[in-house]
Amino acid sequence: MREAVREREFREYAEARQAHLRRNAYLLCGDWHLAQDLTQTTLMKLYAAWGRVRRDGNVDAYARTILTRTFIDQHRKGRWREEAVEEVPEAPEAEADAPELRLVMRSALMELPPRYRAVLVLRFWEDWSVEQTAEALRVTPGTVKSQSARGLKRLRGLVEGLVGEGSGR
Amino acid sequence: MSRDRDAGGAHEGAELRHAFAEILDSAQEPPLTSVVDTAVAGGRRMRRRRVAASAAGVVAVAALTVAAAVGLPGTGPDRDQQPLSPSGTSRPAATSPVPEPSPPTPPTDGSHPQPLPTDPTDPTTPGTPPGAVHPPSVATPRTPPGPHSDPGPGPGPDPGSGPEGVATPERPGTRPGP
Repeated sequence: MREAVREREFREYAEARQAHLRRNAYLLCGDWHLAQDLTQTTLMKLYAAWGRVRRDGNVDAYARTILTRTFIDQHRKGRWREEAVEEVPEAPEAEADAPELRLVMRSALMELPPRYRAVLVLRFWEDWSVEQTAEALRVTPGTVKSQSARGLKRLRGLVEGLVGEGSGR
Repeated sequence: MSRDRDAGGAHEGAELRHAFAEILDSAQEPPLTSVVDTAVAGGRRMRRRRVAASAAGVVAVAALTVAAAVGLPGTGPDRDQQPLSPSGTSRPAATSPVPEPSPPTPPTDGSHPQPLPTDPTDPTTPGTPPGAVHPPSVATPRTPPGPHSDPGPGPGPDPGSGPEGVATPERPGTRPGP
């Protein structure tokens, strides 16, 4: 009985939030299928701890923390490997200037180290504070600040380099 | 919230946020199936594994505790036996010049427990005043002390500490071998 209630509550939450989690995951890993896997692992871990998470409240923050930690852990363990495919997926068609810039931005973001990327996504996309981000990533607030500054600097450099490359062609 | 962005700056943060939104808007999300069913199944499996692991941990700790309790000396089935003396000290009690510890006897004459005599005729024995007269035989039955009797040292009434002829309770391990 309790298990059924628990599962129903979880399903309601997961159905409502999985798209949002998947978009966050996409910002971290840059691939929709990997993002789907990441979302599934996150929801799996969330279900295993659902009773405690519900009691503590703030399920969203907990889910995003799991997502980010899982992403970093999997990167550390080397699970993100490029796999050879038989058919190369079609590249998005080049549009006007703005889409080009978006692609550059996305490429630059994906070139950042995973931890920098996670800090930038949590701080500037999720709008988390330094302390929240530090807690989620299990580092000190000072580390978050320094990684945030370095990440932004590096991202700027990468974007400038990619734009220069594009215009120099 | 933007107050916290001392590392990157509010302007840069807003730009980045805008860039993130653009990336997500431009990325054509493929139609993906729901992962909720798989997540629930996986989560259930994970919980079961956790419960099993913690149960195994409890069983292991209990087993270790029991093993440690059984393995401790003096707690086994032989716990009623007296500990054996080291083999070098085993000798006949009658010829032993060294007094063996004996169960304490409550003093009957108000004196302190007497020092154990090693040689009753030796006047240099510690605790024996010079000139004290000792009975020739240590097996002399002791008469109850009178009101003016000498409470001083001598061959004491201690049955366990008497030399030859005094009944000494046998102790396992000190018995001469067959």
